[in-house]
Amino acid sequence: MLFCLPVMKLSRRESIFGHWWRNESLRGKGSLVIAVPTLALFAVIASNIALDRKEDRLAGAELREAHRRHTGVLVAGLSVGVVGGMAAAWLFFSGVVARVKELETVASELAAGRPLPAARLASGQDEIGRLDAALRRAARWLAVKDRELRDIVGELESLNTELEAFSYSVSHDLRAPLRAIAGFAQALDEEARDRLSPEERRYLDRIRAGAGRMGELIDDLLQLSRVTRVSMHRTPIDLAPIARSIAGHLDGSETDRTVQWQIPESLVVNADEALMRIVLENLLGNAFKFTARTPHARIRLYEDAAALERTYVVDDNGAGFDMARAAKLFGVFQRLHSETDFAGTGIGLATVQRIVHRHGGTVSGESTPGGGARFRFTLGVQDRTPSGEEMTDVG
Amino acid sequence: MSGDGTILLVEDNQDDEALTLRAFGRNKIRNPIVCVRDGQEALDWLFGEGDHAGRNLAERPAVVLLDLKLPRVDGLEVLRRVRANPATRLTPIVILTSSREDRDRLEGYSLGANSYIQKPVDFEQFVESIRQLGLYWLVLNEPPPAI
Repeated sequence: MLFCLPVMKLSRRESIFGHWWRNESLRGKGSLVIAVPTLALFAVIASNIALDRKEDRLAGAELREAHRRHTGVLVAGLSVGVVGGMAAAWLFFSGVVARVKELETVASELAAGRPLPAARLASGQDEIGRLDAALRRAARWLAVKDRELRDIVGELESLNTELEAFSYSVSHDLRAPLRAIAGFAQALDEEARDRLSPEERRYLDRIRAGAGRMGELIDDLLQLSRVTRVSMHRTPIDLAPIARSIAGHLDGSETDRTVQWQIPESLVVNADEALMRIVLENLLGNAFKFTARTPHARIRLYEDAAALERTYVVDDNGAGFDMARAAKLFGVFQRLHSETDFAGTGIGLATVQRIVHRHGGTVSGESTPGGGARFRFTLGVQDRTPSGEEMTDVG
Repeated sequence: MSGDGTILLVEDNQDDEALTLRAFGRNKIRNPIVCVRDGQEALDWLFGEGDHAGRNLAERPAVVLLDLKLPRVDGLEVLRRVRANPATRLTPIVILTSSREDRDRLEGYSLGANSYIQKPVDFEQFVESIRQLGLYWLVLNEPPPAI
């Protein structure tokens, strides 16, 4: 009884041959093609025994006649045996091939993600049957995972819609009260100018400045959220003219400053143009801001020819930052300088990092206090276009 | 500095309405300004229906300043219906809104807005926006002929 269990368990499995033999539709033919060669074999053996017995008693022509008959039986028996064996083999293999073909259909339907055909020939407890069952289990598992994935995608889509709605609301609804605060503070200043003390008017200035700053924060946060939401289209674009136009705007915003801009003739990258403009606006804008107190301010944009991967650098000779706090550089709302030293929302570098990451690249900053800052970024493996190396001075 | 064309201001926020009127005043724009509070009222005024039934439709607005987020009928729907109506399809419409979202700009222009201006938070900038807007739409721009 004890050794029954493994036997019972084993009995549920069978060999391909066993399956073939058990198969109703083939059994008749199978018996025939096994029986006929077996009978032929018995005939040959019987003929051999008969010959052995007669051999002592016969001589001359009779013995030769007996040998001739035996050879005839031998040849016929072997022929029947060979033909019958081949028939048996053909029957067996054609059965196996038909089932393997069905298995192949199951596998290719599974690969194409289509519903599987009902199990017919390929089912069973033998190797082919178990392979068929395994493929069907794989299909069910894939269907479950597919449903889970669809659920997750659906959840993400609804989250994204919610985020869109939130950003939209922030964009629209948060600005309106700020406009009221700033606008009516200014209206009060204009209407009651004569009645207000200088101190009181400074309060109104502060209200206006606070509202303006909050407006900037909202704009920057929206931009930060937008750079993750917008679709990205990589095309070969030249960073140099974009950088020159940004430099021109920055120069125009503070006409009393002279900054030496070093921007190459051309710097073609394979990236999203609108997003790269935001990257350069932030990096060049930062460089411009932090060189405000540098007598001979110099800001460069160039490709680092020595780097293994295509690497772009924006560096300046401005205030720099403390490398001990460099880890905080790319966090949202992280500022390494006080608001009174250098204005800013602390969102710009976080935005840069998100854009660079979306391109599959990396960004890092290095500096020594008072020794300028250098920001290096790459744009991922899809950034593979050649670029001009020549440097020209602008401004 | 301006002609005598009527300005239709479609704005639900009373603060924004007051500030816009103040900005017009600061820029000495003396054109008649009709203020409506939602999209339906804007359509009623433009088509002479509802509360504005029997209005003299010969008084056509020189420009419509249209907010997007409006009660009852939103700004984009107003734009759609104004463009669909032969009597108003050429009316200059300037979207004046808080939003700078891409989809609003895209939809606004797709539906035939003539211009899209984001209201700045800073009042001085807002006054300047209104000055340029008034100069362009009320003085420089030649409106379409009556049809």
